[in-house]
Amino acid sequence: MDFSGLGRFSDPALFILTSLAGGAKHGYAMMQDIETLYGVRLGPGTLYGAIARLEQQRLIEPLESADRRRPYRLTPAGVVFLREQLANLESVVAIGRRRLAAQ
Amino acid sequence: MKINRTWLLRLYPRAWRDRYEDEFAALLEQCPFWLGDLLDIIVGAIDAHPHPCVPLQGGIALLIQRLRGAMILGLCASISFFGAGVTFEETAHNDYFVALTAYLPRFYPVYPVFSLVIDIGVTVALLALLVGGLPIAWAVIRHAGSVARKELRFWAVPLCSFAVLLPGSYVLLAVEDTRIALPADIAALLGVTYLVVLVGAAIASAAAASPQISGWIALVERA
Repeated sequence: MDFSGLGRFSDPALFILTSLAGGAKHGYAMMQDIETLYGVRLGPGTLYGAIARLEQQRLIEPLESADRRRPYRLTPAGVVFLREQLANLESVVAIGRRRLAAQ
Repeated sequence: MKINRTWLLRLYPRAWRDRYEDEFAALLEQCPFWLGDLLDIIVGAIDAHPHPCVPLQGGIALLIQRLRGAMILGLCASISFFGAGVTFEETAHNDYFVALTAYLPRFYPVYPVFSLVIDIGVTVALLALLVGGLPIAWAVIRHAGSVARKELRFWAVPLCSFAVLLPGSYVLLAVEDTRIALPADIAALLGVTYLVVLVGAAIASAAAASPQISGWIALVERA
């Protein structure tokens, strides 16, 4: 599995997965967390477009909630997926750094 | 920024709203709303129609929604094609049209081909209506029978209307073909009576069938 099926939601999906790696959160908490950590503000439409895709791919799952703000958490598949993607990113970063250092 | 958020949510497909509306509305109420968010939600709603990405239950609802849309589209297309074909056939038998085609020998040979295409199309459209419509009609009747027998009475209205109008139409056409010279007032009375019965039957049938169809659609949507 990769981010290719997420289209323009691949970056927001990565932000959401990383945010949820720190614990279950509802939509607004995710928005705040992502904005604080990365300085990126996801719009409501983008956020829920990505959430819907991640839930459909069973990478995240909703939790029961007393109010309308439904929290989400990573599934075991989501944890594995996030590890793979971060490893890929680390590889890209390492190669990029090596090449820049050679210049 | 004050904005009608309910209206914004209505931009999303029904299956998507069934799954995410509450929490999405809660998010909109909670977060400060920027002008850019309006565009973001509109783009998200546009994207959600081809890619609703809703889990199982919503997916089934969406499948039913699309199936129903396709059925209605097919039904409308068949009726339109049938109507166009009948109109063409009637026009083609019109004296003025025949006379006109006689003056246009260059185009006249095209007419039989058009006529054949229309005939085949009308036959296919009618068969499609029968094949597609009979299971639906049967499902509706079965549902009506299983939920409440009294609902069957409502379906009797369009059926009886059809049963009365069909022979009535043939009788009128037969009278026209025999070239019997009816007195003008009787002919006018017959025509007006037939028109009133036709319109009345259509209204009564629609009034009787609409609540049953609405109830059936609601039942399917809840499934």
